[in-house]
Amino acid sequence: MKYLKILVIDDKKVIGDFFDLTMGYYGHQITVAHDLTHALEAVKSQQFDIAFMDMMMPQHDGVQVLKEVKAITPDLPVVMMSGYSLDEKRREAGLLGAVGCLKKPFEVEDIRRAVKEAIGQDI
Amino acid sequence: MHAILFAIVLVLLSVLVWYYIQNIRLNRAFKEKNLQLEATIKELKAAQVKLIESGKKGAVAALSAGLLHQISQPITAIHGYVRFMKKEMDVNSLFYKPVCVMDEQSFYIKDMLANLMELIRHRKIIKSQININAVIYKAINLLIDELRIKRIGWDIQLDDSVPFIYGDALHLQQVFMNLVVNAMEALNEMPHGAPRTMLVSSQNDIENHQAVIIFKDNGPGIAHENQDKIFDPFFTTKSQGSGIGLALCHDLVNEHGGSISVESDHLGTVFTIKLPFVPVQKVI
Repeated sequence: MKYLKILVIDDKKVIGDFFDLTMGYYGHQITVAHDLTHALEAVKSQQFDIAFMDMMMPQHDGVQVLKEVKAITPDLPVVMMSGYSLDEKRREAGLLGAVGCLKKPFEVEDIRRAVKEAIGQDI
Repeated sequence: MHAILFAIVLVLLSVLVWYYIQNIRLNRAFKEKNLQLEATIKELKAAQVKLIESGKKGAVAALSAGLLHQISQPITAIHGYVRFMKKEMDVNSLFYKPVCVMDEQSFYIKDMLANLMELIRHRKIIKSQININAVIYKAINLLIDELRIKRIGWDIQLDDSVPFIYGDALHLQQVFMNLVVNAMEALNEMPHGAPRTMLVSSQNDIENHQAVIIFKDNGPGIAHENQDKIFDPFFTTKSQGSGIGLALCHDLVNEHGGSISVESDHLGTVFTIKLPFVPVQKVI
């Protein structure tokens, strides 16, 4: 099994911690960014295998963050996370290159499934 | 002189007869207009109720969407961690059983949230001409294994003459599946050994230009006082029910310009869905 470098972009600390504690436990390297500035810093300084990004953050719309992240790393596979389903937003994110959507609440198995669907990796 | 009098009487009689006929015509026209007016008032009242309901629903939906977004964060942590702990925990641990209960209960909350999200989210309905019988078949097919496991005898009687419906096949399939699942749950409450049967049928109601789809089970039935409330969101008689399934069915059928109703007694329950036809076109 390949260990992944995963970027989590979410203003909610609890979500970043969840990735860190669970996926980190299974050997993956987790970096958490709580806002756009930190997300951009992270993608400028490191290479990631996949990113999970919240669709709704208080300061920046997820779609806007996606646009800016993709401008720096166009090849980074990004899975959007959403508390509830917004068809329009999902479609917009899809057009901007998001490769999947993870519905909150989710669990480890859902993350694994999203990774498999997005980059074809079993983790 | 007599001839003049006779002519006057004749004219008078003719006028009277003409007046009488006109009066009958006017009366008939008046009655027709009155009926039309009554029907229009009835339609207007129904539209007004719908508007008020949709206004309320819109406000509730907006509020719920925000709340759901907030709730989904802690539930991800609670449910996600409990699942993670259960998976990595020694089954002989003292805490294994409580963790399993937490897992089960948090899954119930997660599931309810997912249903609620489905209920309030803005659904994109993609309508096309669809063969409603094919949609019914697909819904039943997806649940066939479960019907067998639960030892439910089922039958489908579909009327091939039902014309095309203008609707969203996926959403209607979801409605039909919800009703079958509901029937299965009701039949599950039957005493051990009692026959459990379910009948799904479609009919062509030519007179009212609609397809009628019926889901009938011989379960214990729904209490009379609950029958008015079963399509209300969050109303449930099940211990683990969210009260969202039938509310969702109601909304989806309404969005297709149709109606859903229920009749129930101690011999079973009948759900009836009516969906308007696509004009002229027919199922080949």
